[in-house]
Amino acid sequence: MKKILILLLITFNVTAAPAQAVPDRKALEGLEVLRRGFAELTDFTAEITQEKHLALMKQKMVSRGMIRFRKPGTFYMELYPPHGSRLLMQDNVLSIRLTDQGTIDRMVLPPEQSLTKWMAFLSRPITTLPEGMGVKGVLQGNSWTVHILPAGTGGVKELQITFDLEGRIKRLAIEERNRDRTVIRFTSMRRNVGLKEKDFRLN
Amino acid sequence: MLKRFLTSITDATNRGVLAHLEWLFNVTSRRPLLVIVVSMVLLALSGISIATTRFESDIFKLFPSNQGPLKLFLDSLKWSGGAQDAYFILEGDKERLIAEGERFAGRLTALRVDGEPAFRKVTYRTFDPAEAQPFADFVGYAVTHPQLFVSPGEAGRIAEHLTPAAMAGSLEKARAELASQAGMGLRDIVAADPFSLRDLILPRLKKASQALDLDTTSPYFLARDGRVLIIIAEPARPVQDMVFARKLVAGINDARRGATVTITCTGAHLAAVLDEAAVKGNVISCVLSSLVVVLLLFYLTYRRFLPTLLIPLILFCGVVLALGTAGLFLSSISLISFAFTALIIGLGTDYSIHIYDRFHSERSAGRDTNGALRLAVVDTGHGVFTAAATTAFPFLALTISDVRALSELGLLVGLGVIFSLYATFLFLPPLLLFSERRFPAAVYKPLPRFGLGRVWDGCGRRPRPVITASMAIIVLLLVSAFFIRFEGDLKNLQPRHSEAFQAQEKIEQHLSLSPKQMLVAVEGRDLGDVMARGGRVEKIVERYVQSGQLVSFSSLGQVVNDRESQTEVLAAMTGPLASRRLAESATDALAKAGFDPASFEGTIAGLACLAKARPVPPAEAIERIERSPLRGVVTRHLMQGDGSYHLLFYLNYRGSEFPQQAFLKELAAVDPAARATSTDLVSGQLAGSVKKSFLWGFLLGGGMVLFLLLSHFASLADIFNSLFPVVAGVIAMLGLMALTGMGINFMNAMVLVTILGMGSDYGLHVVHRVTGAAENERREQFVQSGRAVLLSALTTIAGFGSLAFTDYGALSSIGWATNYGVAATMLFALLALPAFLEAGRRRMLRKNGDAPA
Repeated sequence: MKKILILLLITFNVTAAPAQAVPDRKALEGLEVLRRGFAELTDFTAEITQEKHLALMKQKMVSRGMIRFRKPGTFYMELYPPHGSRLLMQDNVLSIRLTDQGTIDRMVLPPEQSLTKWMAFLSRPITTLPEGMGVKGVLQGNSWTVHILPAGTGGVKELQITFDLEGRIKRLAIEERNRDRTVIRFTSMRRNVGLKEKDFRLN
Repeated sequence: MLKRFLTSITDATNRGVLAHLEWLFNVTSRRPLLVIVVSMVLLALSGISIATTRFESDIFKLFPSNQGPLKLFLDSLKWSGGAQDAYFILEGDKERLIAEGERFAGRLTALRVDGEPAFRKVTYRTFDPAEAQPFADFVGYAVTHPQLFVSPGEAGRIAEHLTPAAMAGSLEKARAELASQAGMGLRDIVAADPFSLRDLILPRLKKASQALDLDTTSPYFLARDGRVLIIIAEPARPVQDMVFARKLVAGINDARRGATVTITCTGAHLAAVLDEAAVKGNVISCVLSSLVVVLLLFYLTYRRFLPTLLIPLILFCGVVLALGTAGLFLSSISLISFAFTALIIGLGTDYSIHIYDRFHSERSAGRDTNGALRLAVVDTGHGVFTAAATTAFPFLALTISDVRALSELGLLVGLGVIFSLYATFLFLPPLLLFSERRFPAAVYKPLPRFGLGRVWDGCGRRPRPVITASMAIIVLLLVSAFFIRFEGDLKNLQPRHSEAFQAQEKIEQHLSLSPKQMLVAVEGRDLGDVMARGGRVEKIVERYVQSGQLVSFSSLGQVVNDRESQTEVLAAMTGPLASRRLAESATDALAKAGFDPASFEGTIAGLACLAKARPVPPAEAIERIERSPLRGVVTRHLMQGDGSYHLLFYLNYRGSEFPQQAFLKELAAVDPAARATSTDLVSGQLAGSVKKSFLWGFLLGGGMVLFLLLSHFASLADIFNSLFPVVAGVIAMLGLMALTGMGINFMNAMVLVTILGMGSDYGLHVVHRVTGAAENERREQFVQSGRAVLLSALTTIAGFGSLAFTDYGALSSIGWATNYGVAATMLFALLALPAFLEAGRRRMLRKNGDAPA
């Protein structure tokens, strides 16, 4: 559920979880680059292209949209029609509105999944890797890719996050155990643009 | 004939009592060691009896729970295990509440007692993500068996949802959901129900699962105002295991230490343990404070150290012997009944006061030790004996009550009074003799008169105005008494500052769906039969909801249709679907919307069968719900216990607009075996029990008092005079209660019986002493007996007064009512009775042809 958030949260969780005995230097390095990228911004906005490969569908679903984020804990994501939706997460309160149907679902996430809490973790340098998940870091040219493989039987099999040397996210990929796969590409990312309250509205 | 009969009874009783008192005097003055040894043996036996008695902290056992609404209420707690559960109420800032709730739930989960987990289960979230798959499985079953779950009124909408256009619309929505960031969680549900038939099923289920008025958007048990959060925990062992329960409460207290929000705890049984320290503290402070006041009163009046020290011993004997004897009759004694100790302190001291007062007065008048003691024990003792009997018997008459709170208290106080009386007769004379021998030079100074001589003189000079004024006051208070109300609300009897009480109040204030709730149970061994009968009950209830007499209700029938309702749904559904080829339509719609029909094979096959669907046994639906995260709907509405199914209906209502008796009549007509309970019905049941107990107690107690007075006094005038203060006192008590806003409740109603016994003593002592004295001694006898009555009343008020200030509404109301009654009776005995006695004397003189002095 809420793939972007899961990615963000699990990524941040890397910084908070107990340490592995032998840390992967590349993974640590990559995560620290990502962390610094978040630590230096107050907000950001980006255009996105989402591709979903679902077992239920004959063809992949491609959606375009945009995301906005503002510290300490406001996140907004909009997918344009067809199949439009808007998601707003304020700390741990999550609302999703289906644009065409006009329905709104709201839920409160447990506090350990609140954005504010995870943003607080980004203020600390990453020196260890977490237990309970595998983390790999790969540097290719000017891009880092961090692979996060949660242990256990949860829905997510692997998360991949690709970002540049300044910690700017370019691509997210989520692979589920049922072989469903989501890829989100980020373009036109702008940081510290001074986003206002009105930029985070569902209606 | 009657007069001769009464005279012979009076003579025989008086001879018997006097002989008994003579024997007591002889034994105690000649063989004090034997008395002490026998007393010690009796105390030891009582100690053994007490040691083998179980002391009960379960407040529900104080009330008659073997039938009626209270039985159903307790049964429902037993079936659901709700009586065992601990409920934690977290109250504070919305921002902190969730975080603190998570933290506290974690601590409770980690809590251990004797090395084992303290709780079997800690529930604090409405939805567990691990149950997404079972939920999707349930949705898949429900949408292919809509006859079980769709309301008959909405049955027509099933076919509407399955038209090609509606299917296309649902699939558009499904695509948007899958594309959105909620898609991962919804994928299995979309696979199970691509055409959104769940919209006809889930709202109904959600509504039925709501026992409390919660914020439905929160995954926590959070009140709509966001200020209260509930955590429910199931203890690993029964909380009736007091050792475990005490350790559990200690652990809970540790777990909530340092919390930044207020955390209170409640639970039917756990509350008793939580409040145990408070109850003990309350009872102990009552006992100690009343003991201190009583001893001070005694010492300040008589200035004798040894008799003052003897009073605690007498009271100790009275309490221990009463508990020991009660232990022979009762399998267990409620902890709350220990409050009787305070009453024994108030009542048991009276006998020492009367006997010692007489002894002291006679000694200060110059009589020798033996003569003074004989008069005190035999003459004053006669009045004391009758007075104790008139006090004890009305209390003992309460043992016929089926309200255990009353019968237990009646037995303990009745026995306590009798044993205190005998402890006084057995220990006081030897102590006084010992004191005389040890301190032969002791001087008996005249005792304080408290202005009683002037009162006697005033009443003697102007009896008519005093009588007129007294009667006027009585009439005024009688009028006021007619405005007294009955307080049926059990809440008013609970300890106001008790943690459990306050937690319940918070639940009611923040989370209750309506101010009041009625629980209806339809029971039987066959589930199908129970569901069918439940369907008939449901129809009545629905009518009451439609007419606005009920706010709402919840039942399993609102979620799972019985056979009759399924037939209705099928009739509305199969007709329109018969001509459609649902499987083909669904496959086409899925393919057109870009879905892979192969992933929906099971759903398509289920839809294909809808046109030919048949009723399904409700048991199958119940079993399916139980396997899903929605199992709470079943556990709340269908319970199993004692080899039967218990189908429960929760009826929410505001108050008097719901005609409960009319509803119960209709309920009995459609299902004579159905049972119902509510706070109103429980109050009504208790009121009925108390009324019956009161009536019988009044008749028995009043009859005994009357008999004792008849056998004590030779003339009807004496009986009238001795009864006048208590009758006036009862009227004044009721009038004052009405004037001060107090009502009669289940507990203080007993005072109407016991005050007869306690209050009749005052008139009896004064009349006994004054009418038995020579003309020139009447004033002195009034002063002496009046002083003893004044002190007796004050010690009784000290005993009951301590109850008046307890936190327990039940005990407090007894305390206040008794204090009003005792104070008024004492005032009428001391300020008005002399006037009546004087008027009677003048009448007698006129009758005999003498001029009044």
